[in-house]
Amino acid sequence: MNKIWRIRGKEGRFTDEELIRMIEKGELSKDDYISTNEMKTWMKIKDTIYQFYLKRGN
Amino acid sequence: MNYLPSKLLKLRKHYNYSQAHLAEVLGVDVVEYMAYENGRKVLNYAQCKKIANLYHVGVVDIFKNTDEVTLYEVSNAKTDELNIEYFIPKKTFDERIREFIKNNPVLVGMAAGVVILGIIVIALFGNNNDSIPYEASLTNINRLSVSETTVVYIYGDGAVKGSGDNSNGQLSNLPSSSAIKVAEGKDFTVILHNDGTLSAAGLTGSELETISKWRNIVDIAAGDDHVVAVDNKGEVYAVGHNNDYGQCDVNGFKNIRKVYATSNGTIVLDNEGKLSFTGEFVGSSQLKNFSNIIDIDASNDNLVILDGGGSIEYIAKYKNFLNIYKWKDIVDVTCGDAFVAALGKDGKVLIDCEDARMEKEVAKWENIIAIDSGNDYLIAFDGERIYGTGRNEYHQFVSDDFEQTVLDQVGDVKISIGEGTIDVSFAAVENAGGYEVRLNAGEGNVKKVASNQMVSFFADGLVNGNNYQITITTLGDDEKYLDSEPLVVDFTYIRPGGSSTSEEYIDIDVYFEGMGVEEFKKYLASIGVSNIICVETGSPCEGDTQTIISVDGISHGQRIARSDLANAMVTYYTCQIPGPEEGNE
Repeated sequence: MNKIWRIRGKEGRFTDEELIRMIEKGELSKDDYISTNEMKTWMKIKDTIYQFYLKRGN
Repeated sequence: MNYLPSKLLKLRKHYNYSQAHLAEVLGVDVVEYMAYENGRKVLNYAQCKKIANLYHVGVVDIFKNTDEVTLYEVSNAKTDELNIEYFIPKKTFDERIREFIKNNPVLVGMAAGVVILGIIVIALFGNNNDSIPYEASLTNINRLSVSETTVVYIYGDGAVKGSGDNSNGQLSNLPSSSAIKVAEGKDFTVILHNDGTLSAAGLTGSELETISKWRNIVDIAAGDDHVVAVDNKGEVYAVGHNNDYGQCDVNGFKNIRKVYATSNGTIVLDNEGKLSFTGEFVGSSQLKNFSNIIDIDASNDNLVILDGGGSIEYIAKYKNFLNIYKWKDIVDVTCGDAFVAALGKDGKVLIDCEDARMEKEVAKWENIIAIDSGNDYLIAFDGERIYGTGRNEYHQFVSDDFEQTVLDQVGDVKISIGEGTIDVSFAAVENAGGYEVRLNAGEGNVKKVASNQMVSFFADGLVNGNNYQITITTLGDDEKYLDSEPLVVDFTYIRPGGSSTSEEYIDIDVYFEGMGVEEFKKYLASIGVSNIICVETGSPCEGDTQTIISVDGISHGQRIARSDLANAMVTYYTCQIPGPEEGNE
């Protein structure tokens, strides 16, 4: 699968799996911004369905 | 809260789909789909795109964690009994097609192709013409052909030129005259000449030998690895890969006038305007439902059909293209995986897609005479110039509308600590739409400026000797230019004239919120704070005790010099003890 995710403040592109792993491990917080080329703006993780993977209190 | 389950349920019920159908669309089993609807699992991004395509909404509409979602009116929502796999509009063709052909001279761009290749031809239909003439009778027509990686043009004099991927020589040594049509495979180009013979670029061996023997050819098409052609007697020929799909099993086709190809499939249009197919094709089992067809185009996921009345129909695997029913007087059609486009008699291009940028670009095009598309890009030709929008990985067309650039971070940042202010200056970034400058010292310390002017923050709340951060983001326009990565610059606030050395520090380790006011005041006194402002808010206290709602000036976890505490201004906000109710006086 192509690497599609951009994470604001981090270089490179990330797959779904990589992004989810970083969220689950707490390396990304609810206020970190993510985007893809298909999205016109950045979105905070807490505003996406991937907030499902956030640790409680993260 | 996870809003995905309710959103999925709402959409599925609206479109009257079963969980089994959704599971099939997503390529998972029903149990897994149920997990998405009951919130035990979350869709990944690719699945969100499939769902978005199916429901004709933007992918962000699915990915965004709200229960807001657009529900389009569905007059022909499918049921699983009607069709398990594909969405088939239940509109039928009628005699208008023949009548229209008789009564209207129509400029018809003939699109063939596939995801991977389409061929657009402009043809003029005359009066009193019940049948559609063979393209070979047409001469000196500018033509356009599009594959996934290349765009090939035929000029009026029959010269062929192309742009895009030439890694296999598919764009090399193209003829300088006599070409009337081209078809592009994965890594080759086939050319139909005005004498009914074929030549090719990037094709070798027995396949090249075979096509070189074909005569009186009037139409050609190419899939990933096969070539198909039809002669002036309606006989169909094919050569190339035939494994697994049977895309070259064309012996049964008779009285054919046009041929088309998908990656691993062949579609033919006969003299009665009916379609047949062999090999792999998205809506194969539904083709028999259509007749009196003038032209088609196909992508991996979609098939679009032009009727003689100038309106279009489609078969789609995932997506609804409901806007196409508003379109009138269409002379050419094409489709990618996420869009359907049509050329109107007025030379304007219409597109049904979810991408606002593509819509915006297409709206600019005028006097277009041909359109064609790859999987994820659209090409238009006005007789002189090629226009394009969408993915342009191989630079098939000249356009910058889709290329987004992440802006650079600002450079040469200078942070000056003045008398009561923090002043930030930085170098300008080319193409910046503005800058956001943020100081991490409480709310309100965010400023947006249109140019790289100096930005100042009041230093009132800053504590002498503490570390702070200035974060600067170069702002884009969200279309061509994207915001830069934020640039973070650390600095230590040393108050002018003051000193951060030889100080006694105190760690604030008390949570103030909810603390009683009297207890709070005692704490402030114990650490040496004397400048205190009380603000009583309108929020009623829960009991008889007045408690702290919030505090400015000091905060939990802060390390602060005792001398600064002595000078600190602390403002605390409290709830209000309810007074006697009105009317009880």
